[in-house]
Amino acid sequence: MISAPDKTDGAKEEGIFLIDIAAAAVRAGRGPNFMLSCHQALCETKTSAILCSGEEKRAESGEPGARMYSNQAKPVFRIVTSAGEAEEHLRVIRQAMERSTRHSTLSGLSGVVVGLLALAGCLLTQNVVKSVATVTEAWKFLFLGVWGAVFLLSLATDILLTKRRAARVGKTAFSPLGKHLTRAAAPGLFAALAFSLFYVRFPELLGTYIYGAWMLCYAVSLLSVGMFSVREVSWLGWAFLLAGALTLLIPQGWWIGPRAMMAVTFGGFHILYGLWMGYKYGW
Amino acid sequence: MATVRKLDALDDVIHQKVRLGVMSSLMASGEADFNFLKGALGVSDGNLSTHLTVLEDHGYIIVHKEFVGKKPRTTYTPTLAGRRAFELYVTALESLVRAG
Repeated sequence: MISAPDKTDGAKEEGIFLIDIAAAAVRAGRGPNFMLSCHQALCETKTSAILCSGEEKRAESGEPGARMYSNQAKPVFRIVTSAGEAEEHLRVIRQAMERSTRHSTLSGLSGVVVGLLALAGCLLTQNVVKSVATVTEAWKFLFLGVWGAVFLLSLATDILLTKRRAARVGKTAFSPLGKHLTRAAAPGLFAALAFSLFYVRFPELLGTYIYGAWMLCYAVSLLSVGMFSVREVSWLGWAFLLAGALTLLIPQGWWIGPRAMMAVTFGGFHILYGLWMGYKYGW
Repeated sequence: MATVRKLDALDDVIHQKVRLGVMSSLMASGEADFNFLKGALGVSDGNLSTHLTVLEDHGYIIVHKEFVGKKPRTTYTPTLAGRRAFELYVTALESLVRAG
């Protein structure tokens, strides 16, 4: 019942379902309703057929949907495939886009390295901010210096490893997409900077709460980036959001303090994320 | 007739799986080189280059050749016309799927 597609017409044999209904409708002087009924009937009958205006193909096709068209359509037109075609093409689009934006330039290794850097930061600042009362000028700057260094090193690591990975998959890290990601991340990081500057001025006011504030700011950045990237980035964002809120709400003197939360989140979360990303998408 | 004209305007250039894949990939990534496209779409060299030529001939993509060290590297970026054609195509596809 199905005629083989014309092999000389390689480009078309993939399916010219939509185009041909449209072209036939135009030639027949019919409107969108005709096209929609064609499409609908094809979906219902799951027909694949090549139809002609004459009666010659009618016997071959023998499908209710096909008969309907050959009765209606004056011009020659053919429908190479059936209901699945539009969906198939949407699938092609989705797949190609997913393979191209997602996980192509995110490096698993960078997550692990960033996590280790954060753990190092936690160890280094172990004695810096023990309680609000013990914050001195020197400690304040040592504290911010350590975390500033951790941040800059993490950023450098991330940029380098992302570039390396991008080169490996044949793209540049600073494509338009890369710019989108940077722009998405910027507001949250700026907010974190504002909290840090506030900490420089009034360390006693903020104290260890700065950890929670950083987590929330970072969560905002991650969730924005997640909109353009893999869903794992969004998961990480949600995890940081919850952990940040929790860190701010932990009562003093609990078994887990803000700095421990820092190790758990910026250290642990990143390492887990990195391992997962590396395992799933590559290092 | 608006829908018809829109669909009619979507010539065969974009309505082909490999070329559709190339355009989707380029729309998502902004730019990509030959090997990346080959891997992402899972097609052969010859097949891909044929379709890339078609897209280039229709002004949907721009080809940029450069040397990285001694290796030639060809990158592709979608043109404005290519982006517009892709968007029209997806819109039409969506409306048809919704109607069906």
